[in-house]
Amino acid sequence: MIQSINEYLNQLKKELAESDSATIQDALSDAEEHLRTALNSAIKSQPNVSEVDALTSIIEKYGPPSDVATDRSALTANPCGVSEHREGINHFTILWCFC
Amino acid sequence: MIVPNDADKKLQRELNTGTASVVLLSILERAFEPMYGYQIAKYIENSVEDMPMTQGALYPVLRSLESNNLLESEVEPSVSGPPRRYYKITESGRETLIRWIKIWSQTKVFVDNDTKY
Repeated sequence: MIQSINEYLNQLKKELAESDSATIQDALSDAEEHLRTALNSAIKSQPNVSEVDALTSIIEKYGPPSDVATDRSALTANPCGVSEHREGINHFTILWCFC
Repeated sequence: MIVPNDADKKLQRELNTGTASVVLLSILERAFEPMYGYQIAKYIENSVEDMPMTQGALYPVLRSLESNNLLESEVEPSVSGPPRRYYKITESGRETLIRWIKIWSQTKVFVDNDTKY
């Protein structure tokens, strides 16, 4: 169980080890912004809940480092989700290939 | 409750990228002021019973929409916590959203028509 935001960010960085520096920086920046904001909000609204318990609940909604890294890497590596349909523009290609 | 296998997760991930793009553009098009990621995630959480993706999955889509000039963002310091990246839709984003909503409607009819049980 992840005990702190810094621990989450360190795990995320390891999961993104194969990614380029811009992707890593974006992922860490977004995760830190979200987790710290969520934790501050949780502490204010539920002061009786421990930080670790609150963080566990937040991470459940945000996603574990492995999933977040997979989502980030998948979008970076293949922004068009249907690469085998590149020849023709169809409904799926237009919807997914917005890059 | 269905326990997703690898193929299920792959399909869901592929669907999420496209659908999240439409949803995020739509939310920001209707917003009165720029919104930051956590704010957007909470809005979605409160508006749907069963969100098909994690909140973390929204962020790379926001970044990608911005890199394609459909959104623009600005980082602002916050009173408590880290700086926040506020997103707002661009004119290009508004025009694109109109087209994508039509595409989604056509896609939905296509899928629903052939998946009746």
